[in-house]
Amino acid sequence: MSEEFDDFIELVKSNDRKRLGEFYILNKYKFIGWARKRFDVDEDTIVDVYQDAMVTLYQNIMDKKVTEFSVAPAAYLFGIGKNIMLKRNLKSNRVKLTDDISTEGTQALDYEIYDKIEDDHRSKLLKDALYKLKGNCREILRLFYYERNSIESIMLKMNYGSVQVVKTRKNQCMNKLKEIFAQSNDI
Amino acid sequence: MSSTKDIELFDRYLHQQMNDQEIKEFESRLKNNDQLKEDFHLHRDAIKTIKSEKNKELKSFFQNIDNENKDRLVAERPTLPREDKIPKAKVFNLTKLLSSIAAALIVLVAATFLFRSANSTNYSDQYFSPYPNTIVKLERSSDESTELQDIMRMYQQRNYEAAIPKFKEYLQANPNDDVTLYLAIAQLANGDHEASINNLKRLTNIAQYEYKDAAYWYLALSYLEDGQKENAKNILSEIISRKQEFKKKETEEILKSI
Repeated sequence: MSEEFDDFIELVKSNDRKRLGEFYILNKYKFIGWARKRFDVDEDTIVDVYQDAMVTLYQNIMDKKVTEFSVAPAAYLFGIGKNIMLKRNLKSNRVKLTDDISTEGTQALDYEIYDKIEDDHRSKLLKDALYKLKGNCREILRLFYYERNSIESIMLKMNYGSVQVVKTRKNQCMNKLKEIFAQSNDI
Repeated sequence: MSSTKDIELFDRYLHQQMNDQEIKEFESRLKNNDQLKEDFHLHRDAIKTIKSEKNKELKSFFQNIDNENKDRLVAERPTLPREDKIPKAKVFNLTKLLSSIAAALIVLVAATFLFRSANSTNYSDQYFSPYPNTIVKLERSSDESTELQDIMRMYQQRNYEAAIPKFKEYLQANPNDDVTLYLAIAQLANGDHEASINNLKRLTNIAQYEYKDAAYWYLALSYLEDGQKENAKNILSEIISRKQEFKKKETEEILKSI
């Protein structure tokens, strides 16, 4: 198992879950050890933050907000975890005194990785609409908006005949999602 | 609904592909056109939902990794008091112990990954891992649980023997193909291959089934476990020809080995 993960950005882009799992496990207890010394919180909370840090890093790589690392990926991940801890106003014991984790480059990332208000009516209807999409619509939308694949790349992956067909299909799917949302919103 | 032109405009704006002049013009249009503004906000929120759902699935993947290792850890790992609440003299030993356990865990997990590709013919041992829970949210702090949440907790804890009758009971009252997938996986893990094959075969035949990739994969494993190699080969070949990404590498590995 490689401990370096120099190719972490490529690993994320290729959605290599096996190696992502290795990276997750490899750094999990280091993060717990680091956080326990600095934050007055239980281990479940630390693990929750660690998982959210992983998801945050993943999404920001997908969104091309992280395109390279100035430090090792694990150090960058810890910086994100530290930011999440601070954003959640978790009580810090000694973070200012013995701060060995830099948050440089991680402050401007997008930390809204889940819907802001889980129970928000609009979010719920949109989520329901997403799951009501038929055919390969959800896959196309996922590839374009989440994985940020180009139209051409989607054409190759999904075996479409032309770029124009993919474009049209993607726009139809987006409109279908909005249409299902609008119908349920009117009820 | 939005026109093609507007959708592409929204995407270019949100993907930061506009130059300063285009941004200025677009924002000015938004300011003066309420309908466009409403369309844009819906477009932006729809994308947020797509991302949010994928992120939840990713978090479940990490939680699943933890659950897979939990049983082993419970036996091995002592309850660790907070560092500032334990006598100073013990801090070093506990830290050392924690490090040792962490190291052991890493070795254990690494070994699991490395030995997956070994030449064993016990496919389930090598390739089976339960499909992550993507159907219900399991709140750690919630006092009240729904029936399905309780069942999915059993599933996540790999308590398949207890989960199977509960799944069946639940499905009798609330037929649901997504939940059936988890029942079938529990049946596969529990050695009831005939039942898992029957359930999974039905799921793979549903035209617009959301979890078709998973259904194909677990059906192939069920056939392998049941000794039906030809059927397993057919399903694995189907996985390849469907160009599905889920378990693609594992499918190729198994196809080479049988």
